[in-house]
Amino acid sequence: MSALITTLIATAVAGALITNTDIIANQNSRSQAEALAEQDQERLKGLSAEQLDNLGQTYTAKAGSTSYTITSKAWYLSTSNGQSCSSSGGASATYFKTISTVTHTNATGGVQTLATDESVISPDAGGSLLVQFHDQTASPLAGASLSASGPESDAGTSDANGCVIFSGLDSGTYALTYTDIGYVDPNGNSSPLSDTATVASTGITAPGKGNPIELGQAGGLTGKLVQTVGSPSPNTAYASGLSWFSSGGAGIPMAAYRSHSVTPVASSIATTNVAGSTGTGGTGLFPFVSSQNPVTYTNNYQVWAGTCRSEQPPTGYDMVTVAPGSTQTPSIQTPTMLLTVKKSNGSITAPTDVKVSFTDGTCTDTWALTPSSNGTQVATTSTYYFGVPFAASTTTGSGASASGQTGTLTVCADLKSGSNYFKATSAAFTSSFTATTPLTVSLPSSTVTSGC
Amino acid sequence: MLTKPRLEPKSEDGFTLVELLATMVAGIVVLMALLTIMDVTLQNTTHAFSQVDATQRARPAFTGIENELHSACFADEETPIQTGSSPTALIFLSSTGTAATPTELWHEIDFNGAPTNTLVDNTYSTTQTTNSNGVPVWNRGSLQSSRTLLTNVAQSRPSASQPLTPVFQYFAYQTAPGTDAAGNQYEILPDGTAPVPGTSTTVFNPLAPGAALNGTQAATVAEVMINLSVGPAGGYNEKTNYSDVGTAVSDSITFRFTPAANHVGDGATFSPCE
Repeated sequence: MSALITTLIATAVAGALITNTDIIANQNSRSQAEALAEQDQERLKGLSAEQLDNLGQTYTAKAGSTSYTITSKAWYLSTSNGQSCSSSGGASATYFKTISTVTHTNATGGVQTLATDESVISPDAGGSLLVQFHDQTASPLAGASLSASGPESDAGTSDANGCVIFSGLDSGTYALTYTDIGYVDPNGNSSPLSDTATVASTGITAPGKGNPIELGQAGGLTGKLVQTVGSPSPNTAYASGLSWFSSGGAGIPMAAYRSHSVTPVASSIATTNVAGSTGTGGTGLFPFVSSQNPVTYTNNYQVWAGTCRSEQPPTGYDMVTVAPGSTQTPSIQTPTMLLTVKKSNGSITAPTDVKVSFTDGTCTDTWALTPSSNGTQVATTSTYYFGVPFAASTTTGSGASASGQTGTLTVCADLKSGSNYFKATSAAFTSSFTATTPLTVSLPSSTVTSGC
Repeated sequence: MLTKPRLEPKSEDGFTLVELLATMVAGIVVLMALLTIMDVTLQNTTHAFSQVDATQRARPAFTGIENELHSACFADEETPIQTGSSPTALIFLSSTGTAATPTELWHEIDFNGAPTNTLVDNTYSTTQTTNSNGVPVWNRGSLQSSRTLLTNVAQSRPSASQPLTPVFQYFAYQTAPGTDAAGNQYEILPDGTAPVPGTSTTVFNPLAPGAALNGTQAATVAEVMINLSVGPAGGYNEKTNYSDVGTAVSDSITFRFTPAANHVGDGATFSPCE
């Protein structure tokens, strides 16, 4: 019994002593850690603005026989002590916030934070440039590169908030380059993209295009034209090229429609990419979002035959889904034209070459039809089927009707394979996806020397 | 006749000699173990206490030096560190005081090795003149005070196999390995405490190692590092058998108001007090 009591007392005393030693050792560790944190704060004062901007550095240091892990962080603060460039938008870069955290990993793998020290550092006098990159969901885009060249040169990469900030810049005009390989702006312009900024001697400057700079991983498509109605075979269609437009998404608009011309044009309008690539070159398609939560890209583009905006068919036709990095091979509808050409004497003839033009006053689109080789002949007549762009009036897709859009076309016909064109304005022509539309052209008695 | 009742003999149960000896031996073993634990624990506790004591003595002294050095940039084109500063003598100007117009003072902090083992702050008045370019220059005046900042101090040593670390080390900006995204080479204060951001290189290259600074070197000093081993108030062997009690304290003071230039050609320079 007495031995048991002695053992219990001894254990309790030993436990108390060990606990006491642990407490003292912990105090010692905290004291050493605080000194290391102070020293790291002092070190940060010697770094440049570029090194401080979004600094996230971890290194180890020994004090006595103990190793500590020191984490240094620094970023620009706004006037309201928030992040200068946060996901909610940019603000002025007033100070650098610096934080040094010292931790120790114990024998069991537990990480204990022993000391944290923080302060602010005033940036250099001079102008600042703040560029914020967003992706197609209007969220910060990290990893985009910005270079500025002007009175001095600087370069940086966007952080998790999508921001790059250059401070202490000499005033003047800077040429900016945004680079993110495989990315395009909302209008489909491929990276690297150019911009300018005029930096004042003080304060913060946004790029000429304004913040945020939106970049999305490009998608691409290869379109194939098909006739919607009629039963000609082969099912061929002709156009001068393809056009595409998106109404945008996540508050990001597409500034203007884009088109891609190809010559010659046939049913498979191109074997290579028509509207974009995911690589370093070419034209790409910005992946506008259709909905944000969850993020989808369904039917975010409309694609049509022809190179004019006013050839755009009614809303909802030939919608294409372009997701980041995706490639699409959609079939694009064309109205079916039943072309009949009459000589000045009223007889029907089969021209060797026909050019049909459409104009809305600002945009003219011409597509070539060669009846003998590409047209689909109706029985033994001189009448031919062609798939053609949805073009008949200046009304664009939003106001057009799938059942018909009536207007006129200009036709140039060469009857003798000698580039001696007869030019005429067609009778009323109705573009329609639902019915074959006849187009009869009565040629004048003499050829023209221009305009065809 | 009454007869006294006969008392029954008491039980004779008890510890046998063997049991007693076994118990004593067990008790002695337990007590010996306890004493050993107590001895080790007390030594460790004393060691830890001594280190805490040393650290607590060192921090206020170092903070005082830091405050004086942080007040060392007080005039345009004035350089904080003065010619003659060496591994054992830190000579600098500072401007402090409670008056609306602070007073410029000349400091010389001397490390005195064994057997003195002290760190002493000698403060002098200053006299101001103007150089040929019309720039004010401050000169050492008369001794105003001499204050012992720390006792029981010695030069620190990273490890037993390595040489003693100079008490005062001086650093100027220099190019470092690695370039930024624009291809501009980094400029850093090469104090070797951490990798250069953007690279994995730790650069350590103090000015005039082991010697006193000349005028050109002193004018470029943008960082001072102080390295000392500070012992407890009672001395290095205070109540312990350990001979290495004392805590290595290392602090750096950077003479910058704003971040340095990103690279050569930027607006900000690499001089001290910018």
